[in-house]
Amino acid sequence: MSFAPANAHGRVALVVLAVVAAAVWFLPAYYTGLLTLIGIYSLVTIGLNLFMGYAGQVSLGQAAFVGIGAYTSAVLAVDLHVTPWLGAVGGAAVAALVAYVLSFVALRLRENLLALATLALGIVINVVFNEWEFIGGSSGFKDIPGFTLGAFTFDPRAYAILSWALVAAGIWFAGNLVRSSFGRTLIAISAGELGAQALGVDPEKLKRQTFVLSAVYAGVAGAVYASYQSYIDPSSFSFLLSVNFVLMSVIGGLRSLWGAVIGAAIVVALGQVLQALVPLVLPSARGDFQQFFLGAVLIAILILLPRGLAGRLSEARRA
Amino acid sequence: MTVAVSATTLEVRGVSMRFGGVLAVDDVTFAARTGEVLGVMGPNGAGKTTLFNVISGVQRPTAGAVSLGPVPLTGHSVDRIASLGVTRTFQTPVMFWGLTVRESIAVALAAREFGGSYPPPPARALLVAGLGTQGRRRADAVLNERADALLASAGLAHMGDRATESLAFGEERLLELARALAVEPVVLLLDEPLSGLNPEEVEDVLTLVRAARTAGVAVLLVEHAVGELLSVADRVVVLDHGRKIAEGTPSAVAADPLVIDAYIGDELE
Repeated sequence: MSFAPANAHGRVALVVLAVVAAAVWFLPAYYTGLLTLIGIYSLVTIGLNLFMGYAGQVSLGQAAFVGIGAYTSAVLAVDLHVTPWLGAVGGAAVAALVAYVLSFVALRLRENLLALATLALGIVINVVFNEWEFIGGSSGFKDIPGFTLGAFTFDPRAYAILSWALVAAGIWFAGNLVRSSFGRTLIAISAGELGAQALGVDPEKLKRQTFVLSAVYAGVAGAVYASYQSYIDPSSFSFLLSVNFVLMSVIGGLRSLWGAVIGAAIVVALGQVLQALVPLVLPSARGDFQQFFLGAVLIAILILLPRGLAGRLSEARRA
Repeated sequence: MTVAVSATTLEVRGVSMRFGGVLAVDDVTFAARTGEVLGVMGPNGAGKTTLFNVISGVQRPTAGAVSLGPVPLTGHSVDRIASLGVTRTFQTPVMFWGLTVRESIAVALAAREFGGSYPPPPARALLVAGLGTQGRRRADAVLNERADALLASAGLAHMGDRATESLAFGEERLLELARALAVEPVVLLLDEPLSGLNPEEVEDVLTLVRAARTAGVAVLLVEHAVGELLSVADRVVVLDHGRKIAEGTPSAVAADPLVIDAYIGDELE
């Protein structure tokens, strides 16, 4: 079996990875940290875009899979001294398994009901994080070991490179997928499910596989996040984070893999700007008030650019 | 095809479909043979589309059963029934927006490639596609070529690169029909394939229907254009108020007083 060296998505991703790998040597630590976060969120959103943009479904529970990946990797590392490299594989596997089991309930539902079901799943899993003392309960999980390569323990720069290397791999895989029969069939079921069924396409199985794949992306991202932060608690994987992943998908453009990255970058950057600006404008505003503004931005984008920023860009290129 | 093709292909036995107090299909029995066009006619509300929905698995009948050769179809999902060899088109064509015409056909061919159902078990198809293995990429390229060949044989060669969003209504009908033929069905259900078409497009569709018949497909045709239906059908089943009131050759059915009554009665109502 021989693999394609790189599709167009993969080639661009390699260039972006090279830019990131070079930039981290010049950027102040704060920006390197943001870059890492954008990479981790991009990975989740690329997976979510397969499920939302191509299969045409909505998941409001993606943060739960990030959390499952993070907690699995953390438990493996702390309690069983498993290297985070294997922890990431384990995190992805457990997230995939949970997604697979849940899909038998959730994917029987359609559209809005499916969105509500995934929302409920996310909340229930977050409750488990909060209540399960074995994984630290509400006080969370501390001193999660970092990634290592030989004697080298990853520093913030290495995490930025790692997260963008995973984005490159993730976008390469997804890029192959969307151009294959598999990707076309996903588009077919999102456009006309009954029509595709009449040709012998099993929409539930397709959606299930895509949902599980999106959980794998989220699980890997979660494992990297856990080691990068070295501390996780249930609030890191709340419903708000799930909403943010949907925001990233929609802002970037649903049927676009690079849109996922653009969306993640915009939401992270906007979050930082709002965090700095909101207290200046509204000194009494506290906590998640920035989410209010993020919501306003989303509504504006939905009205002005219904196909997202990437959709707008590709239209401009064609025109 | 895995299904043994016998002279009697599709059997509908005692099928009834009740919606609340309405018996939309009432104890209907008939069979369709390979290589024939079986017209299904009847006035508005006679139960034709409901009958198609029952055969194709969109709705489960209240009573009765449908089978393909020795294989029972009743109770299976639409995609399972399609994978067994029974496919259909819709009164309003279902288009795969986001795909080109060629890609729409390739979706059907991919389903066909894997024994009539997609995705094949287990998740290997996903992994092979995502890793972009040479074999898979070649196979997808072959699907595109085969899609082009199919489009050419349907007289749609010029449409391959067009986005499905840009098609006119008649082109949508032709694409949906070509897509259904791409899965090489044993039984093909066409729900009003001529409505909304200009005379030229009507001829195109009828040509495809006759070609399918020659290829051994059992074509079931629901159509309001009675003239065209009687001209293309080998046999005709007539429904009225959910009941089968006649079955036979087009000329015999056209002369049947019960049939004339049903149509004229419908116009007087």
